[in-house]
Amino acid sequence: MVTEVLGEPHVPLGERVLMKGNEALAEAALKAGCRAYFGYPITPASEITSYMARWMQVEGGTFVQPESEVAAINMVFGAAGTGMRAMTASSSPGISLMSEGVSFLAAAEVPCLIVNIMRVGPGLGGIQPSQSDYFQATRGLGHGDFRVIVLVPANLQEMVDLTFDAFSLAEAYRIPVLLLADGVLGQMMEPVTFTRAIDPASLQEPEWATTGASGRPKRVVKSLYLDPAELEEHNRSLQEKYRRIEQAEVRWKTYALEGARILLVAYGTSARVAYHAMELAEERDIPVGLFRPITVYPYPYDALREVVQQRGIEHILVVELSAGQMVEDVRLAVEGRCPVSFFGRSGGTIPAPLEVLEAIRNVAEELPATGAAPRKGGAS
Amino acid sequence: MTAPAGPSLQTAPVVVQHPGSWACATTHYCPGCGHGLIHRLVANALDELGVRERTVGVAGVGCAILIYNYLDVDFQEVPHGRAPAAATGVKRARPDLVVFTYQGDGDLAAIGTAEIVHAAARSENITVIYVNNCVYGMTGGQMAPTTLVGQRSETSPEGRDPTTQGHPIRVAEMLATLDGAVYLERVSVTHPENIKVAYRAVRKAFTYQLEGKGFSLVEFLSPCPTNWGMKPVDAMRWIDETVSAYYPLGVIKDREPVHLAHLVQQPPTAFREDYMHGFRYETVTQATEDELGRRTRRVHPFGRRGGRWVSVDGEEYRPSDHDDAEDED
Ligand SMILES: Cc1ncc(C[n+]2csc(CCOP(=O)(O)OP(=O)(O)O)c2C)c(N)n1
Ligand code: SF4
Ligand SMILES: [Mg+2]
Repeated sequence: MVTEVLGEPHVPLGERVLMKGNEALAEAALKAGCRAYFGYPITPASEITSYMARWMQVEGGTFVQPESEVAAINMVFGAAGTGMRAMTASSSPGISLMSEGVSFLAAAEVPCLIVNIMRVGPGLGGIQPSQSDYFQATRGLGHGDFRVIVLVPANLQEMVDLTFDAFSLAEAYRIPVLLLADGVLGQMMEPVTFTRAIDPASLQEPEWATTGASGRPKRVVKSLYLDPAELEEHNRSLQEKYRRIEQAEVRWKTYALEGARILLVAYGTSARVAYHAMELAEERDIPVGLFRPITVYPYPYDALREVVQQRGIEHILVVELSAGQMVEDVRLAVEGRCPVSFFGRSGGTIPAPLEVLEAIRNVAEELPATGAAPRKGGAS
Repeated sequence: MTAPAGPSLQTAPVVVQHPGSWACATTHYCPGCGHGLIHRLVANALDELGVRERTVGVAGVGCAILIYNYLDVDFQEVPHGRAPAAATGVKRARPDLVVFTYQGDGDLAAIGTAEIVHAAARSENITVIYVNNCVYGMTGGQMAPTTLVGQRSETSPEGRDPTTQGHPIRVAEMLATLDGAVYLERVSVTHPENIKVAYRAVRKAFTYQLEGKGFSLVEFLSPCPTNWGMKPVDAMRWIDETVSAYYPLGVIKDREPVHLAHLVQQPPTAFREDYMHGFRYETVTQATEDELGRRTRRVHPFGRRGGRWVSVDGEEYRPSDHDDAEDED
């Protein structure tokens, strides 16, 4: 079939361009060599599917709009099972439907990318941005003892870069990777630069992929182990892999730790709001720093604990677009070394920085007075 | 199949040659079960067509989930009912591969109804081996969508009552209404004549795939003596006398793929490239950077209908650079 190319087929490399988050993510996936996309429309993630519908075929890849997210994740299973870079994208209710499939992918160790552009729940909830799928992403993406790597960008350039990383991490560890962003990041526009494009032909066919048993023994991509001893061994090797990931792949960023007494902990869009609130606090001489996880599985427990210990943090304020989910990981990290408070908005409302500043002020009032001079902030 | 060459019958034990696609595993199926025989027909067809080396099977969940122990070809084992979706993924990713699913009636006609209907509607170029034994075998004999009216099962102990439990689904006939379904045949394995017909159907279904014709499905009426509470011979007789009366054997549909090119709608003339998502990007200039410096975000309520820019401080803001005609509230 001949497809007429409408307009410019590629976003050029090296040029700084203004793009919508969902479209930048889709373009990044194409440039990362993804050649199989399966996606069912849902606000606020739909543009990823539309973009892929438009460009995947031009790139020589395959695009299917399936009958449901259940079908989508299993199409990903099939395509990724042949060793191809494959992905799906959806928003919260659609991700719930994928749970069984994700568990199978994790168990059969099939690498792939799953994108959740979170909207507010529970139920149909609303279509406004939210971070209320944190528990689902880090704990409850399906049945059984398994993990997926969860990446949480806070701006579009990071979303683009993490999309590339997602595929290499998925392949390096034979694991599904979840890119967890919210409706703000999906819908907003920001400048991004694409610095590279991977030719899928340059990617090696993995030695487990089902591609026809020609000149080699047959391969079975599966998750069924009826013998308990065999299954325990399989599960042990999965757990061993997760421990390696926890050692090597934790990512986070810190801001203005110098002299900070209060530490904000936030990811994704709430980290952007928190950053703004931190600046407002700084202007008012309140000593605040920011800790921003970039992976939430593996979670930067040790890094956060070390910041608290080494910087003598006296109080943590977790900011989320939820009723409080990541705050539980923060508590696990600091192990009672300092009080942990929470500020969140739900229902799809993005808190204004002034609201967060108010929450910071409340915390600051509780701090014991010191004679120390107000510090000057700086990113670290 | 060619007969094995070698020592004469007088000097050597008789060896019935097995297909190269046959893995020679010891069966785990109950005596009189239809699955083993049907596996064997699939293996034979793959060998006769010479495609073993480029075949990927997708196993549904049911008694035959372990089909990959019996066939010496690459396999994927996927969630209950989703084999047609996974097979779609395999075939779309690698159209050069020969792809088939092997699914029971619970797998295909209950939990996986959406997947099979849409794979057929899209005319995925795959072969579906559908084994209808009128019951959930693996989980111990519960009612399936195909359980006959009046048939007793674990979950229809008084016999299936259509007023509360609905009517059995004739899958091949149901799929025949779809333009995407190219070849649908119902067969049984109750005696050698039927087995021959069944084999030809399987071979034809794979041949169609090799010819790129699109979606084909062979529905087997298959015995499950264990859950029917019958001796194997009685189970065969029940298929011949009762089951095939409700599910008639034969070709349900066999036609050239429907090419509807002449019906394809032209895009409306109002179709505007830049009206759609993903067709446009803007190179960032200093001016747009300054606008972005005001920390704006764009709120799109439903798709592209409506939308506004809001600064994170809550005030309404619309940078002129990014205004789209369709963004009027
Ligand atoms: C999501 C899910 N629900 C239920 C099951 C349990 N289950 C396994 S096989 C099966 C029915 C299989 O029946 P059928 O497809 O007719 O195959 P048969 O064993 O009769 O050949 C069920 C319900 C499952 N594995 N997964
Ligand atoms: S339960 Fe039925 S379908 Fe399953 S192996 Fe036994 S006879 Fe075959
Ligand atoms: Mg059955």
